[in-house]
Amino acid sequence: MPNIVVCYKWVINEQDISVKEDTLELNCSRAKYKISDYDRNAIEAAVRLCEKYGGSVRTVSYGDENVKASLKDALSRGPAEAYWIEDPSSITADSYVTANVLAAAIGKTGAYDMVVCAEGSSDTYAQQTGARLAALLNVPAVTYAMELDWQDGNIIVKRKLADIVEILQMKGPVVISVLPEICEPRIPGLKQVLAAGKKPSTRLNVSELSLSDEQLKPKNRLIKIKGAVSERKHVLIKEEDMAKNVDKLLEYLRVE
Amino acid sequence: MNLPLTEEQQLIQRIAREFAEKELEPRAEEIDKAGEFPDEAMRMLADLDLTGVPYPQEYGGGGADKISYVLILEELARSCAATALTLGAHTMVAGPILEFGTQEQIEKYAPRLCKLEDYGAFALTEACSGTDAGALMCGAARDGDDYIINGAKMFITNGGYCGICVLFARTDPDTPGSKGVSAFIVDRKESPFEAGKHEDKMGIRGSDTTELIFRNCRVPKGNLIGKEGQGMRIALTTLNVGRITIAAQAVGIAQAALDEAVKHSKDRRQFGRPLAKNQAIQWMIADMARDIAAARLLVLHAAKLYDEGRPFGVEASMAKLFAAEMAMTHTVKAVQIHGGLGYIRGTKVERLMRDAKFTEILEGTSEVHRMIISGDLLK
Amino acid sequence: MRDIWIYSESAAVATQMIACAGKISQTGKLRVFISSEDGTHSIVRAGVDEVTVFRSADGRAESCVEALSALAQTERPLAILFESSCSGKEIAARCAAILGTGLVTDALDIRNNEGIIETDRMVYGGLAIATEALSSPSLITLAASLYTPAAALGAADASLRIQEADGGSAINIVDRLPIERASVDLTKADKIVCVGRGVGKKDDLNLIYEMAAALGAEVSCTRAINEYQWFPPESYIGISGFKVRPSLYIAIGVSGQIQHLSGIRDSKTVVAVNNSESAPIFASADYGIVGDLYDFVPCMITALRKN
Repeated sequence: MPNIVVCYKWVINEQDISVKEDTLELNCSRAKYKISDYDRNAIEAAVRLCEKYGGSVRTVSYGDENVKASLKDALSRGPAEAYWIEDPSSITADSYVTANVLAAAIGKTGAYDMVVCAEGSSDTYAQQTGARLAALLNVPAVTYAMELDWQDGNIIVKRKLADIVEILQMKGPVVISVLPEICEPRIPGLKQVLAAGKKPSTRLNVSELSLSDEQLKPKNRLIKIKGAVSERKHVLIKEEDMAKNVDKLLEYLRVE
Repeated sequence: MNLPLTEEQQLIQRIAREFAEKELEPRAEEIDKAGEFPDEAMRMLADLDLTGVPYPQEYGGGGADKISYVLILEELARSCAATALTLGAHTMVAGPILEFGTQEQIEKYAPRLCKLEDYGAFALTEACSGTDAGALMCGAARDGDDYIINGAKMFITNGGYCGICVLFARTDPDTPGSKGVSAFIVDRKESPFEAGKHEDKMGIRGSDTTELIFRNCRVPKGNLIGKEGQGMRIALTTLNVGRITIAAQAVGIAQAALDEAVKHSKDRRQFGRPLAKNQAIQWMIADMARDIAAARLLVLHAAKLYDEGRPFGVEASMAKLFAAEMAMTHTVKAVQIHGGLGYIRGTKVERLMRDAKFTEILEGTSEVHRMIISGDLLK
Repeated sequence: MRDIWIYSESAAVATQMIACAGKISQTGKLRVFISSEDGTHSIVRAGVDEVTVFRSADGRAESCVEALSALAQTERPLAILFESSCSGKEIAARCAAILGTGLVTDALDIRNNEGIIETDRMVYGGLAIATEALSSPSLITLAASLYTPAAALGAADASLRIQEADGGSAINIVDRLPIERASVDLTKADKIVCVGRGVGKKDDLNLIYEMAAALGAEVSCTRAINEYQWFPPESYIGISGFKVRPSLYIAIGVSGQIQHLSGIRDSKTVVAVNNSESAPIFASADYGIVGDLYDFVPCMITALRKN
């Protein structure tokens, strides 16, 4: 019966961000929030494991005043309870701070066999949090997991590297970061959505987490963020018909 | 648009959008072309507890409020109006049973409908009675412990697939008009009837529209809803609620048209610049956006009144009248913006224009709603 | 200490990271740490000061974390550049946590600004570039575009030592299987044809494969198409799939959503075919044809066969 903690991030939808043509400044004013795409896969993987073997899933999330709106979304996907840390430090937090806060918070939520999170978040895709958590919690890390299974207290993970697949076995507690291909996240049914509001959710304060000031200050300082300019040629081929378009294209490509 | 929705309602709306994009959008064109009944989509909706949204969970319903229900319908209609109507018409059927039926009737029929064990159909309209519903001729003659139904219904949504229909028939041949009409639950397994001609429609072609033919169809007296003579009241109460749902579908169709029109205006270049640079097009887009926003608020307002248990009939009529007419106007404009392309089968706006028309006709024509709204003020 | 360290699993990759280390080094040594004993003869003559090979009992590169971070704890290098392989990233993150320092993943560029290391990296699925200043020691994993061909041999030999690395016994390796690839490694393909939502049916792929064959290209897809399982599961291109660096990339019926574009940035020449002129892919393409891909593909096949 695995006891699983899943960490997710409440992020702005990058599809809603627009880039100002002249200054390349980002305009996030119309952006709505969502649970980071790959975190949904992580939640689903954990929930399915518990549906199969018993046990329960709880979620932990660290964010600003918007993060509270994520709880029903997360809970409608199957976890039994949610924890959240709402603090302005999250706005400038880098992976160092995030991992410090999450590790301390996870410690407050009780015993666990696994911490599951996505390999990276859809906004920054830093791919660090899982491995950092393992180091801070002093437990083994398994990253790039594509399959996850439980056999009487043994955790079996298929890990996907560039050329090989590792099949690893260990006993918990362990931190596992998963690839999106681990499973397809469900679309929650209406009953699950309505039941989500009745599941317990607990707010943890940063002050309860026994972190030093240093641990809450980011190590990476953001200097600037600009829309990416793609320096492509942008040649649109517009001959009279497709055959001529193709000829023109092949002409260009010969030169390249 | 920042609507006054709760977190939960926003989540429900997001989920409906996710489902519509994933499961309805890819098949909508095919369903329209083939006139194919969206059974697969309906089964998926049932799995997500969405085939009895506004009804109590103890009877298999979703237990959600009317606002959530109309949000869902708008998002579904935005991708496939035929599926949205199939769902709306089906969902409507459990309404009169839950509101006017006995506990026995509720327990027997509500779960079958809410869980989509049976499709539901609302059988009111006949060849001789559309807007003039009270002129219906289908008869229900008492015979011992049963009623024997004889007659034919026309233009019944889900008629060919329904396992349960709520039927309106004349129990008192000597009382003409509304007062002689009663409402029945007809269980097709126990009281078989035929689905007749399947109509080949202009739009919402995936929706199933048929005649229903009752030939000496025996219905047990226990299936009478309420009392004899209450039929028309039951019908109108149900339709009152139904019109909010049609309005929501109209808003969805119009929103889809706006989305297409915006995309095309930016894409299409004539005279060396996108159509979007032309004021004529800009004004069309502005009017579309304005009317959709207004219609959406009317729909939500009517739904909110319903949820609060306050009178909502006139507001529902206003929402339906406005939403349907603006959906028709703006889908036509959207086709116009697409030019020749908009006239070709396979272009989304061509289907939207054909789909929009039904909203001006079903569940009370625009003319009926004008009667209702002015009647309220001028009585 | 102003040393710059490089970590990679293999000597071959380490040599490709040397030029990058050179970009940010001032005074101090260049030390290389690798997890494999193969090819050390070339790295020791590639102009570095020291080479350390981690030898682990279980053969996992990740076993070096304790040893590497302990060394970094005492020696405090200015920066450690990590290979951005899966293992490299995990090792980097765990070391960063142990050292209590920052880490930048997949840096597109690194600079030394008066002793402070600065990096650029892609965020928001490729929509924007974030520039950050790192605290010391600065840990960075390098994006593929920063690797350069191996440096010329001939410099004086660096000192070479082997260090035992113990990863602990918590994780048992049950098995190691090669990934069954139905196609060539996309990350090494020179020409790629990518298929997007514009391609409606699996049967249409036959024409696409014909065109690819005529071009000598591999065929791949976007994440959206990956859902249909017309391709092996690992062969989609995008931010969480492959990042490719072909000399020619042809996007057929691909809209060019941000998540996909970040996978193709490093392509030399991008050609896009889409029937919508406002498709985002055109803004990231060198050559674009607005039209029906079902016209384009047969025309291409004919034209390629003629030549």
